[in-house]
Amino acid sequence: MAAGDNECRMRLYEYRDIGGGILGDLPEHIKAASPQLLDIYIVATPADAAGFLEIDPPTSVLSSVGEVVETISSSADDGNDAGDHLQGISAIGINGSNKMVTVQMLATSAAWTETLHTEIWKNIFHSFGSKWGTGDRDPAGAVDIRTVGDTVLVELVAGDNEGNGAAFVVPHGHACMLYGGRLTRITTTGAWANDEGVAIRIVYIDTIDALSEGGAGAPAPADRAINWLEYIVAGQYGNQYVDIPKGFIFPEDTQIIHQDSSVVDGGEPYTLHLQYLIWKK
Amino acid sequence: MDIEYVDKKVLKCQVLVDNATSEAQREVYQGYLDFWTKKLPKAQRPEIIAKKEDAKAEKILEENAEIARLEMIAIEKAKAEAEELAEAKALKIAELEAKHRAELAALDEPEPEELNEINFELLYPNKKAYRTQNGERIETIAYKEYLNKTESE
Repeated sequence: MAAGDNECRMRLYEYRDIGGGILGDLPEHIKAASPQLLDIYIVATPADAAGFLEIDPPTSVLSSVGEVVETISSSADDGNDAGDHLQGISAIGINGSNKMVTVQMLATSAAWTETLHTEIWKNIFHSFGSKWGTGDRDPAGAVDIRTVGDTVLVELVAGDNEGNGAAFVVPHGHACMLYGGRLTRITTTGAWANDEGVAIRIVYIDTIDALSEGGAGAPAPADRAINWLEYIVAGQYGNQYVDIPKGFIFPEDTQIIHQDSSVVDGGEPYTLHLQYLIWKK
Repeated sequence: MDIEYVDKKVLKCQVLVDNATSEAQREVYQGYLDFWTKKLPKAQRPEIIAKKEDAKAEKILEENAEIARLEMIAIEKAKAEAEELAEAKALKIAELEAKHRAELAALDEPEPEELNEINFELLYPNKKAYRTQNGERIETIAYKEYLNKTESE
C-alpha cells in the first residue's frame, strides 16, 4: 500500500450477534439496552510527512435532517439481471429513527440507473457490496449512494467491494463506548526503523465543539475543544503494537473521525482495529 | 445533461416535497427540486411550475375541505349540546312545576282549627265562633261548647 493510501472495513453487529462472551464484563444496565457493536478495521500507510490526515473519509456528509437516497452504477453490467455483477449495496448509517442500521439497497433494473430507496437516512458512514449476480463478485462500474440532488455520499470503485468512510456519529439518544482495539505496525522488510513509527488519533467532536464550525453564537476559535485520543507505535525495540483500552465514553451526537500520521516522515503500513459499543440511553 | 434524466429528477423531487414528513425535510427536498428545475431548458420550466402550482392549489382545496369538515363537526356538536341543554331545562321546569303544585295543594288544605270554625258556622248559621273584645279574638261560649262536644265524640 503506497504512502497516503488507506482502506477501511466497517461493520455493524447487532446484540444477537455479539451477546455471548465479549460483553461479559459490561454492567447489567448496558447489557439490558442490547448494545450494538461497530467494528472498524483499517489498513493504511500514512503520508511520507508528519501531519495528521483523516483516514478514508466519506465523500460527503448528509444534512442530518433525514432524507431518502439513490443508488446508481456507472456500468450497465451491474443491476438485477441474473448475469450482472453487483446487484446490491449495503450502507451503514443512522436512519430516520436515530438508530444505527445496516440496510441493503438492491438494484431494480438490469442496468443500474438511478434507483430511489425508501429508507430515511440522517447519516451514511460507509458502504460495501453485498449481493452479486453470476457475472462477477465485485462491481463492474463505480457504484455510489447519493442524495436526490446527486451529491455522492459514499462509493464503491469498480472492482472493489469495500467503500469509503471510516468516520461516524453517535446517534442521538445513544451513548458510545470505545470497546478496545489494537494498532499494529507492519514491516515489509522484517526490520523496524528506529527513528520511525505510526501514530493514530481518534478525534471526537461533540455538539458544542461542532458549533465552532461557524454561525451566530459559535464559540471563538480559542474556546474550541476538539479532542482526541492518540496512540503511537515507534522505535526499533519492544512490541510493535499497542492495545487500545476500552472504556472511553462518547456522548450522543459526537462525531468520531480517525486520523493517522507517520511519526517522522516515512509512511509505514499499519493495521488498526477498533470496536465501539453503542446503546440507547 | 440528459433532459430526460433531469425531468425524471424533477418529478421525483416533486413527489418527495409533497410527501415530506417534516418542514425541515420538505426544505431539503425543495432545495433539490429547485436545483433540478434550474437545469431544465427555460421552455420546460413553466410546465413544471404549473404542475407545482396545480399541486399547491390541490393542497389548498384539500385543506379547505378539511376546514369545512371540521366546522361541520363543530356545528353538529354545538347543536347536540343545545338540544341536551333544552331537554335538561324542560326537565327542570317540570320538576319545579310539580313542586309548586304540591306547595299550592298544601296551602289550599285548611288547618283543623279553621275546619272546626267553618263546620260550626255551617251548622249554626246565626252564630259566630269568635267575637272581638279590645282587639282580641275570643271564642264564643256556643263555639266552646261545640268544641267540647266534638272532642268528647
